[in-house]
Amino acid sequence: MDTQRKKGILDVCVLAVLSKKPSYGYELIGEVSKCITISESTLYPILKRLESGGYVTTYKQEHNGRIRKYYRITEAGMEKTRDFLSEWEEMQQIYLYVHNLIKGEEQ
Amino acid sequence: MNRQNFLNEFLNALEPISEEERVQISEYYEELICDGLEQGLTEDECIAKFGSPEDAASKFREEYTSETPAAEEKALAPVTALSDSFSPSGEIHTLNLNAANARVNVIPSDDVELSILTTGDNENNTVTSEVTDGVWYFTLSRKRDRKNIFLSLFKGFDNLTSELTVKVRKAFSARFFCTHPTPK
Repeated sequence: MDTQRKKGILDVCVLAVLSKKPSYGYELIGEVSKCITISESTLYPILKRLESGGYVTTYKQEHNGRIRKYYRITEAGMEKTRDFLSEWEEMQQIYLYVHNLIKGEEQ
Repeated sequence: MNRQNFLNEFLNALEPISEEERVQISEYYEELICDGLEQGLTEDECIAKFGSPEDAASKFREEYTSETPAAEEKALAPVTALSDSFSPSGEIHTLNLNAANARVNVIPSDDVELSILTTGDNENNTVTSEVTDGVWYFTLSRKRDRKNIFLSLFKGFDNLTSELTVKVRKAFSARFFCTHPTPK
């Protein structure tokens, strides 16, 4: 996929996972990887960006005698996922339009 | 390659970065390794997943710099009035609010959870919200882009383009830091 297009999508995928419950780095990679390739070194800047944008907040919690950093979605983050869905409804219309023109001609 | 070698080479490839960032990035990778070990991987396997330090660093940088086109896009978008609500996580005893160019309203109430609503020119505002030891640090600042410079030349520097509504329980101690932009 076009890297520029993928960037915004990864942010939304991370937010979508967090919309269910707060999560941490390792778990996020496992979840997001189910639908799109994401590397450890890509996730960190995404989380940083989401945090500085106010889309997630962080807290630290003890786990097996060590500290784990958790990310929690904010209302602004939820709003961003809803915006994404409504944007893509529009995209789908465009897709169908292009699809019908191109594939329709081929037949 | 052990974790220390990986981290050293990776962080060196990312230079220049602040000491604070170094610590945060190290903690992030240390946590991933610990979680991997818990899942039954060996340290080598965990580190192999990161790729070479150079590859990891170039992916990292690529993602870090991706903010620029989006910011450019936002600067060109029309100014719209939007509301964003922010709530802190965990117990909060102090709110450290730092708001440039915004009108601040405080609404005390009996039952509401602490929250901040930003209204106005949110497209050009940057909000940071962080909770440390029960202190909620909330900062609203204006993005520095060409359009803002243009607008501030036009309207002067004291135009209040945003509004912050702080909903707070009556029995709450808060410190407010409201800064005004200084003309350059």
